[in-house]
Amino acid sequence: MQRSLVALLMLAWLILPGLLGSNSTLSLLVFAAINLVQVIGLSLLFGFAGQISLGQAGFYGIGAYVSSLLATRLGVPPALGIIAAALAPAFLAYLIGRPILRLRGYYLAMVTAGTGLILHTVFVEWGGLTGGYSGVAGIPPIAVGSFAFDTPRSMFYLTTGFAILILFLAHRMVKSSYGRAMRTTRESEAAARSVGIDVSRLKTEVFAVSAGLSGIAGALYAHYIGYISPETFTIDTSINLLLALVIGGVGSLWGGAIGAVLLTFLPEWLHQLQNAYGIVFGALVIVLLTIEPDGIVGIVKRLAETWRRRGNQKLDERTV
Amino acid sequence: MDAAQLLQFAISGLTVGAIYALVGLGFNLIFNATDVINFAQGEFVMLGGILASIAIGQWHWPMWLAILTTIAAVGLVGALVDFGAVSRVRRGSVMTIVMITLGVSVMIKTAALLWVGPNPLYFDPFTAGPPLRIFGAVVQLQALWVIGTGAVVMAGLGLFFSRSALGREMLACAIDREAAYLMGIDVRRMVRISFVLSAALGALAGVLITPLTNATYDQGFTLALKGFAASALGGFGRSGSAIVGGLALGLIEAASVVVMPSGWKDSVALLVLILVLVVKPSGLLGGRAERRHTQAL
Repeated sequence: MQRSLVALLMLAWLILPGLLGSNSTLSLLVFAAINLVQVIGLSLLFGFAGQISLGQAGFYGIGAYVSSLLATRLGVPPALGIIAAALAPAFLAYLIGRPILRLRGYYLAMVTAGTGLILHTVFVEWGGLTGGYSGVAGIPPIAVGSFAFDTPRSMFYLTTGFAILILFLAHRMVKSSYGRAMRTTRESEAAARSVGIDVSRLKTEVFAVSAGLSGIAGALYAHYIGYISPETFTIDTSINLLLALVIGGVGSLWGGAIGAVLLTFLPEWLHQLQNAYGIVFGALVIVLLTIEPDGIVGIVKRLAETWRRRGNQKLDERTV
Repeated sequence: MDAAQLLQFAISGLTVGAIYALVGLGFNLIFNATDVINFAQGEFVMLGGILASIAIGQWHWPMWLAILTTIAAVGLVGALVDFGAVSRVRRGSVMTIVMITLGVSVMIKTAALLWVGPNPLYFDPFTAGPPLRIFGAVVQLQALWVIGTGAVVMAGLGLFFSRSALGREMLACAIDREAAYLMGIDVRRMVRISFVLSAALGALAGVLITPLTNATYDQGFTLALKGFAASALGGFGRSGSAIVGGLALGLIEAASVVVMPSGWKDSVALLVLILVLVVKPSGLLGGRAERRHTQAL
């Protein structure tokens, strides 16, 4: 049963680009997959380890700039550049993580937001390297051998394939003992410490992983659209990622996936309202948080629960 | 650097410092009443600048009327933020409150963008006239307005909290909400008032600074960060420290412009915030009590 379901989904994935026909929807799916990689990173950090970050766009930017500059200035193949794009922000996050993650709550939120803003300033002001406001242009597509991922369709397979891989690995991570340690840290650091979890090390590691995932997302983004500028890597991006995760559901990876898709498609669905999606997005967060802290996933779970219970009731009546 | 230059930096530092202090006070007001840090605080400043610019520039209202209406209108927005969003999750976790005020922030910012577009708005300084020359330093008249109004408002707030019955009731809530409630103080009302006051303070900051720096729909979050930094530098929960923190931050920023390109000045202020919090989370002026506070947040 489950194996046939997986096979069916695989088939749907393979033929989906053919069915869609339009490149614009395909392109949106590419962006959704890129966002998903980032939101999953944030989900691990915030949803599972309980550490907020409003600075993800900074790491996203580092990934994008590192891979782009390696390719355009030094001719490094993008496939290798992506590895550097993952390592650079992860390394930075690892360095700053230990002192920063000692802070909690509001302070951590503000300090990570500050980190993101500082990184944004670096992208703007270090003009000699980053091109300042005009950014980096002419970024080559990812290529393996002589095959270049330069169409929406090929990028669809690459990015969604990668996103699924990340989703799978993240799933393995949260189901492992490490995942349990993450959740314990989220619930109570004192409790985590008392059972021998090295809390500050764990927080720093998860922070580095989430920064690395953001970096990969940045590189995928850069090589897909071929041009980057600082305005993609602003605090707004960080806030939207976090709100997307909250809308989808903080407590599960599926929530992150749903949030990433909404984050990508909502502006498109609401394009008649121009930029109004921000209002819808903000309102969604407020409404969801007041009725169900676990976002869309929480609501679906709750509905499923009542439905199941009602079914059981009917069953009971029948047996009586 | 000679004395004139030094004075010049001191005055520009005090000008932005006063703004940060006002925003920081806004954070403190709400935090004291509710333990909530309102991430939409910067949007009040932005709204203040934009509303006043529209009323003066497009509707041709007299300046005093435009400014008073702006402050009142943004105060009302503050009440709405409490009523419509924050009060709904009062018992929520810190993270829920961060999310919900971020949601509010995104909504206000988007509304401003849809209404006035992305271009910067401004209006003329409160009083026209050439800049003053004091000991060789050039001082914009508006800078004097900012510093002067800031000082008057802060002194007024100090009096309000120490002398007026309402102010003392609010202070009582800040010290111990349950005890205040048992003494018959209407805590809900105090919370609502603190939101209105906080938003009005933000709007005032926006109105004061707009003739000097313009107002754009997306300036709010950076200002919120600076205001938070002002409060946190001094140590959270005490109004006096927000003023000290704000002025210190303004002076640091002004000094940073001497040694590096002005584009970096936001980063310098934030770097100071990060370093101070990492080294001494209770703030520079904070004692042990605040330290416990920080850890609990």
